[in-house]
Amino acid sequence: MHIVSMYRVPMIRKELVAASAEPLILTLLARGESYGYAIIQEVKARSGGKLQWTDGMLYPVLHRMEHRGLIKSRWGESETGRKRKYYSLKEDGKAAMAKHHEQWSLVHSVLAGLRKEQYV
Amino acid sequence: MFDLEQAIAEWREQMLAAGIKTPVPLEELEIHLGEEIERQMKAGGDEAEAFKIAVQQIGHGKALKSEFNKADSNRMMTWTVMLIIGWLAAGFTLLYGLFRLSFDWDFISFHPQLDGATMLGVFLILVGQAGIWFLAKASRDRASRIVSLLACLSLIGFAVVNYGAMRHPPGNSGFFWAQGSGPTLVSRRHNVTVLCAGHFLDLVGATVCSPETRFNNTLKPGDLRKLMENAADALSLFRVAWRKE
Repeated sequence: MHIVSMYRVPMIRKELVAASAEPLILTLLARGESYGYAIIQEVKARSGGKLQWTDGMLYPVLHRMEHRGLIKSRWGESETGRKRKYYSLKEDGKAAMAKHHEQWSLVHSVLAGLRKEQYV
Repeated sequence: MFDLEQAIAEWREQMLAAGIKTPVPLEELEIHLGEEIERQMKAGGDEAEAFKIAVQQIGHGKALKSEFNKADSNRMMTWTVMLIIGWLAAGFTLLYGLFRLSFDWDFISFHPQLDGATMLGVFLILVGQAGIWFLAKASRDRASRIVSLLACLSLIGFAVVNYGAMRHPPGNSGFFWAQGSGPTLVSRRHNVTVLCAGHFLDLVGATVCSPETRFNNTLKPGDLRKLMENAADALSLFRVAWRKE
């Protein structure tokens, strides 16, 4: 069965996709280590395919975050023996994630508040 | 007939031609390509189709390269250079401090031949502070921050020890490493001036390297106020010492 939303949500624009990449990655990794392909699949699945990254673009973001000390990586293997690079959160990453959550909540609450007034 | 391995090899060549480096990040991208192809084929696509979709999803080599460039080149260059300067300067200052404490502890008694060394010492402390400041700004991970903090603390400790020696009554050097007969105060004013200058520099360093400053990467009005307070502190100590003579 399909989940039918009230109205069609168009694809999320690329500026917003770019801005949300870091908080999404941090929050995903907060649940445990993961690798590039799984991160993309998870975000696609959770957004119903509306949040589409050009897959390769995830890696520069991951590398940037690693250089900034937010996450760390290690080479490992999947159950089937496939080589994989696993990423996990560092302490600074947790702090950055908390900051992102705060800011996104703020933006969301301002937007929601304004919308409410509009429809009263 | 479509040859998947051949196609992947060609894709690798294209990526390399676009400037994507191997093994990192090309290997990571290739693994990703492999996983996507596998998923597409499980969903019922044939090899050629799966490969085509996977390549499209990953994106163009040129576009990827420019994104990796943003992440790597400039940032890494500045970061590395700053880090090297910082570590060198911090290490140098620490060595200087140790050397001073163990071999050259003749600060209280004024020996003319030590004058140049003293001045050099103050200069080195300044260099060290600048280095630690760079280091603190450049380093993003916890370990380097702790090390830079420790280096800072050691410098402050060095200044405090200087104070202790300076304030001890003449004839009783007090510190176990200060051997020999008591210091002769040829020119105490001179020593006090140099010590206070050194101490002031330490305070500047301590303020600039305070955790909040490093976290925000900026100097705020509050920091400047603290700096002024520290300066006033050093000045008043200087006055007291000067008057005592």
